[in-house]
Amino acid sequence: MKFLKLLAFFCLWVIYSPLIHAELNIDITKSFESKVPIAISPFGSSKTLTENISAIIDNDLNRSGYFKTLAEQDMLSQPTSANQVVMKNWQILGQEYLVVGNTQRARGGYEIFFQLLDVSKNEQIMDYKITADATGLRRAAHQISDLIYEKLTGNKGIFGTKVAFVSSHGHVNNRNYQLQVADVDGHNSQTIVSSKEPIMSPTWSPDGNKIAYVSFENHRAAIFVQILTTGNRIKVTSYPGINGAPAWSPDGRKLALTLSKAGSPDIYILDLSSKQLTQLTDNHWINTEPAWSPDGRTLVFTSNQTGKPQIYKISSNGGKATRLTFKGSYNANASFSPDGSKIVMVHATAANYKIALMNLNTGAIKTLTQGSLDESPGFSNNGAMVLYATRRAGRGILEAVSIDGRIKQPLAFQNPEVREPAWAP
Amino acid sequence: MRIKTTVLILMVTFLTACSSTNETDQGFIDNGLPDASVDGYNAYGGNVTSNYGTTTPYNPSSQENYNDPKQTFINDSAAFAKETIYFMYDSSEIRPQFIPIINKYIHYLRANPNQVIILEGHADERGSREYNIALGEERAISVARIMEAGGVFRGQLEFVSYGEEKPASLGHNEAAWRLNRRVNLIYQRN
Repeated sequence: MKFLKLLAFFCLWVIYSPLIHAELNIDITKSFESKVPIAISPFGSSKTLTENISAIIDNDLNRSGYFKTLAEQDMLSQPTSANQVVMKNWQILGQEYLVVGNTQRARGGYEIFFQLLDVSKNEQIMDYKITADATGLRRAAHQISDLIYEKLTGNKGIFGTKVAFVSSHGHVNNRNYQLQVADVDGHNSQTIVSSKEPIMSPTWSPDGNKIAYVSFENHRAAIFVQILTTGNRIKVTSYPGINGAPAWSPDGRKLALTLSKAGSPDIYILDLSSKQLTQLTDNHWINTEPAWSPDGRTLVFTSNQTGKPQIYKISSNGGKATRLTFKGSYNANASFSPDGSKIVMVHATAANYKIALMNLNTGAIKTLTQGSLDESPGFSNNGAMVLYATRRAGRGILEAVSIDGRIKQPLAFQNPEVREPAWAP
Repeated sequence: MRIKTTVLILMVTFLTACSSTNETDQGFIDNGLPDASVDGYNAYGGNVTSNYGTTTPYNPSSQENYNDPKQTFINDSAAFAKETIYFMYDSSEIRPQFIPIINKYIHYLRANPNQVIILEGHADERGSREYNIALGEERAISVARIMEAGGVFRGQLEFVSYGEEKPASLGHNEAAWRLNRRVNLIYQRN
């Protein structure tokens, strides 16, 4: 009897084990090489609202680089809650996940209900209610995308974030430069500054209320700090020569920046309230692109004191700089991860400029991108993604890449030429 | 006078030799230079508006007026017709074929000590933007050093670097990049 039981178990194991094995393989390859099929069934009463919530979620997930969404006309049914779902209708279409939802008017706005279902396992894995007023519907939709993305990928989503960037257009002798802020999906784009002369290097204050940038509007470089809500601004430096590369200290009280008033580019720290200027580097080489560590104690910067640009670090109190990068002929424009353990930078070997991640504990460098003119990298607040500028089909675009380099997500801006992205805090 | 000129030429040659680096030539071998600078440059303009929240249109109060290079050359000699110095990749070395051009500027500036010249440094688009600002300034300073050594007063020389922000050519290949690695020489209107 015991033997029979054992035999039966063995048979079952033989029958099932290839399946289990196969499923594991599928999971691994699907996660990283092919896109995960997900259907967003149109939300109930979604089309009567000012924002089509399910369409926004569909667009977010589709552009994430991780999912492939199902077109509305290919759906066999359009349930708006989990209890209406006939799972077979989605299994037959090869879907792995299904999102259903509904919107109800509530006091002061709307209640959005949604469920995330695992189609093959036939089970519900998320059930949420989100409230929003009429002006917050788009943000609520991005929030839902973020929740779904994090649940299924383990990484935080970036759909609800804002980004500042520089765009330019026009012929060489009649160019326009704009500093803009927009949602990461390209909506709600607002122009902060526009000029016939270059605008560069936007950087957010840690509280997200101000942006510092470089403007050449007087045919000279000057650094400005502008309050976003009022549009008021102050010129913080306009010394002869370079006024560049502003970087806000984590406490928001100081700007690290580059000035060449003493003859060559050096890093300085400007106290924004006392206007006191402290020089941090002092040599005849190029020293520029300062970036603060999250604890405010250290800065990294680019210097060519060995002939080629490499990344150095220095205490925010000054002192001797230490070289950090030794691999690659060109390392520049570094910035810290939120936990301070990594930096991202422009990294070139053989004149191909890519974005690379360096682990500060091990010194290991990992290339994240495959472009030849990639630049201006910066981490997302959660440290999971790096936003940078690259070129596609003759256009300057912005793209986010996961820090393992596996998932890329182009940002959908209509502008012909965008660059220098800065993720809002 | 003759001795002075000889000393000047020697100094210029010496400085040029000193500033050479170990950059490799990336295919820019023609000795004549493509004259794209006048087409590619417009120092006018500067309208700045701001419309995030409450709009406060901005009026540049201290807008410098730049001389139109074409205008200057009509008044002066045709020898001034090339007003752009081009550079090799990641280099601020002045190549020998540009020395005669700089010398003509030196003569004019020495004869007109109240004339100010703006040396506008530029870089190609490769690499990071702020590093390219620094590189553009190095190029402008290279030209300024030769002019100063040639007897031009320091007060006559101003420089500004636009890095890769104001390309003379919008392409993304060496044909465009070699036109963008440059210093534009612009007389300031007095």
